[in-house]
Formats: sequence, C-alpha cells, structure tokens
Amino acid sequence: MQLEIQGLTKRYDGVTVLDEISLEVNDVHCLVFVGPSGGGKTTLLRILAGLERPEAGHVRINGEGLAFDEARLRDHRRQVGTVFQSFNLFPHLSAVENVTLPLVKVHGVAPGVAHDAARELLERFGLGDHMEKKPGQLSGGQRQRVAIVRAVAVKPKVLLFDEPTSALDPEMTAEVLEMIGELRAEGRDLVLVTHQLAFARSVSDHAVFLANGKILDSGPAEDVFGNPGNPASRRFMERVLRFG
Amino acid sequence: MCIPEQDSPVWRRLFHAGESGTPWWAHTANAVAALLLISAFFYYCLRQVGYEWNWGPVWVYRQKFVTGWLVTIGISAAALLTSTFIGVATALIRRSRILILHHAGTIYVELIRSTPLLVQILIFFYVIANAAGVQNRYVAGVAILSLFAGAYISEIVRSGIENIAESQLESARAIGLSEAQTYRYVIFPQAIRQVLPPLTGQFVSLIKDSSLLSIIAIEEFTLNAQEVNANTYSGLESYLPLAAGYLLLTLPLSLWTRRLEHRFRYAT
Repeated sequence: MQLEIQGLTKRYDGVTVLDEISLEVNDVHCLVFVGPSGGGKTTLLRILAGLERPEAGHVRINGEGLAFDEARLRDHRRQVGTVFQSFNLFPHLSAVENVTLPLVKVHGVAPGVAHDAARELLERFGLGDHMEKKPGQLSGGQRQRVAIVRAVAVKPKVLLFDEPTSALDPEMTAEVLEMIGELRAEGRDLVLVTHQLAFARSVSDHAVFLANGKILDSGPAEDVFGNPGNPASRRFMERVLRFG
Repeated sequence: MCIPEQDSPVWRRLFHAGESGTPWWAHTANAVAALLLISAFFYYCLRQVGYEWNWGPVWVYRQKFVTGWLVTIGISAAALLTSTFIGVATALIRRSRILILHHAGTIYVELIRSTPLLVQILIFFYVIANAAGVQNRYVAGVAILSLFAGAYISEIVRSGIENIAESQLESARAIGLSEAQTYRYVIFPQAIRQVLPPLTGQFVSLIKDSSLLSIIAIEEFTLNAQEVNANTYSGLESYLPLAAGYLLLTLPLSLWTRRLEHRFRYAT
C-alpha cells in the first residue's frame, strides 16, 4: 500500500483534531496509528475510511486521490473495509447475512455466490458453527471476527481497523488480534488504530505516533517503538509498554 | 423475606408475586378474585339505583348491533392501513432535509395531537370534506380517523427510527449502503420490532376513537346503539352490548401487544 497525506486538517466545532498533518509511506503492508486518546488517530482513520470530510488537505491511497463529496466518498467506502470498536454488526441479521448484505446489495454479487463466499470465509476463521446465529448469541470476540469477515469479504484494497479490541476482554482480544495477524500474513494491506502496542509492534511495518492532532513520530515500526526519537512519544511508549 | 421460595407457605405463594416467577394457579385465582370484586361493585351500584332489566325490546334490534359492529370493523381496518401509511410517510418527511417538508410534518403532527378528535371531525367534515367535494361520509370518516391516528403513528415510527443506534448507521455507511438501502435493510427491520407494540396499542385507540364518528351520522357501532337506545327507551341494555362489542375487538389486540413486547427483545 502506498499512502500520501498532505496538510490534512479536521475540526469539530472549532476544536482542531488534526492539524495540517502530512505523511508519506510507500510499500507498507501494515500501518499503525498509535498515541494517546484524543490525539487524532481515530479521526485520521475515519477520513481514510471515507467517513469524515476534512477541512483541508489531500489524501492519496495507492496513487488514487480521495474526493470528499458524498457520492465519491460512498464509492470509496465500497472499496475499503472498515472495522469499528464495537457494535459493528446488524443485530437483526445472522452472522452469514451480515457478511452477505454488502456483497449482494452493494457489490452486486449473486446471493448464492455471496453465501458460498461468506461461508468459506467464516469457516476459515473458525466461525463455521456460528453462521446462523444472530450477533446477540455470539461472544464479543466472535462478533468482532464476523465484522472483520464482513470487511474482508468485499475484497477491499485496504482494511481499516479502529481500535478493534478496545471493547473486548483479554481472551477475546487475543482471538481478534490473532485473526488480524493472519490477515497480515496473507499479505493484505491493513491500517490499524490500536492501544495494543506490543501487538502493533509485532504486526506493523510502519508506525505513526499522533498526539494533539500532530504526527510526532513516523517511521519503521522498530524505530518508532524501539527507539522513539520524540520525547513525547518516548514517554508514552515507556509508560504504556511498561504496564501493557 | 429470606425464606426460599419453595419453602414459603402456600398462602404466601397464593397472594404474593414470587421473585423467581409466580405459579399460574396463583395468577388465575387472583385474576378471578379481582374480577369478582369489580363485578360485585357494579352489582351493588345497580341495586342502589334499582335498575330494572328489560332485554326484550333491544333484542328485536339485534341486527342493528351486528351491522354497526361490522361497520366499525370496516372503518377501523381501512383507517388502520391508511394511518400506517400516513404515519410512516410523515415520519420520513419530518426527517427530511428539505425544510418546508420538515416543518409541514411537524405542524401537522402538533396540530392533530393538540386538538380534540371531536373538533377535528367537525372541522374536517363540514369544511375540508365539503370543499374537496367528498360526498361519501364514510370516506370522510376514514380520512379523518387516518389523519388523526397517522399523527400519533408518525411519532411512534419516528422514535423507532431515532432509537436505532448511531453505530448502526455508521456501519451501514461504512459498508457503502446508500441512504435508501440503509432504511430498507438496516433501519426499518430493526425499527419494526420496537414500533410494533406501541403501534398495536395505537390501533386499540383507533378502534375506540371511531365511536366519535357517530357525531357526523356514520352508522357505526356507537350510533346504532344510540338509535336502539332512542327507539326502545332502554339504557344499559343498549350500552352494555356496545361496551362488550368494543372489548371483543380491542382486548385481543391489547393482549397481543403484551406478547409482542415480550417477544421483540434481543440483545444488541
């Protein structure tokens, strides 16, 4: 994946959440955004997901510029897969229906074909026994894995994760992280916002440290985590890694 | 208090609702007892006024009750369909970003909800229906009832839509559903579960409210009962069947509402 961000600014009610940030990464398969809460990493991911319109700036993913009008944003959303913190799934649909809905209604896949594809993916990620269950009957980790399958099923050019394990207990966190690791091993392009620094370090090849709406550190994951150049990010890493 | 349920004496279980469920026989016994008490009260009142029953003359007019009852069912059913349509349409209009639609919807709902149905019937029938050249008073009656119930239904539908969590809309957006698709595949299927119980309740009201149409001489159940009453100089003999007839329609609906409320609960 190639990502180019220039002068990206986002404000909510006068509060600047992203302050003219610029970033360029080439040939990266897993990009992580880390940093303190409210630092702007989720907002940045949401802009990449086509869910927010910035006040200023440009974004190019794989050389393709993002246009921030609703019609073209919807088109963009169809080409990426986004997984949120929680409550991703539609509670009135079964696991397999959750996966086939975007395939059939958004991507025009024939229902039979979509069902087969969904079953194959769900089985591959150990969810074969839960296909017909409603989200309410699944554990938090299973729900999140189904949500990831839904995002993967549409063959997105990039998968975006917004703190996918924040609402889960440790055991469920492990099963979700494992799945993300598998997707990474398959060679899919991922962008990940997470507080799981140890995991982020092991899975990513490029890390970006955001605080107060600015990029304070950016580089190969080993450098950003192992040898933070910026004092703020060093303090953050030391504190979080010590207890994390 | 701290006595385990199964150890508590039978009399206690008969009169108190248990924390972990009440046996069916306790419910039945107490329901029957309550019903008897209420009946006894009415019986006492009737004895006090010295009411003398005379069902003979009213029985002669029994066909009138049946016809009226059927007309009430017909009017209510027609109004039920129309008002649901009006209600859903109004709820969507009020969510519209086109301001004049939004405000028109709001004014309609507030006007209807803040004035008595009786007044609406009179104004609609003598002014609007006349101006529009609606000759058939049954059509006018159904229209008035639908407009009335539609305002309430739109509020029910609106709250059903607004109760859908923001995260659901976000998910729908993220997977690339259009706005129409989001309504169709995400909002409506979930809203219907929330909306169905209050909606059935609204239909109970609608059936009862149809009795007010007697004021514009629609020959429904209440008007016919009044006619029988006038022709036979009877009192309760005309009105008790009237009450029973409405109960026959509304009670099953009310009970069904209760069951729906229990059924449509799922964890999100």
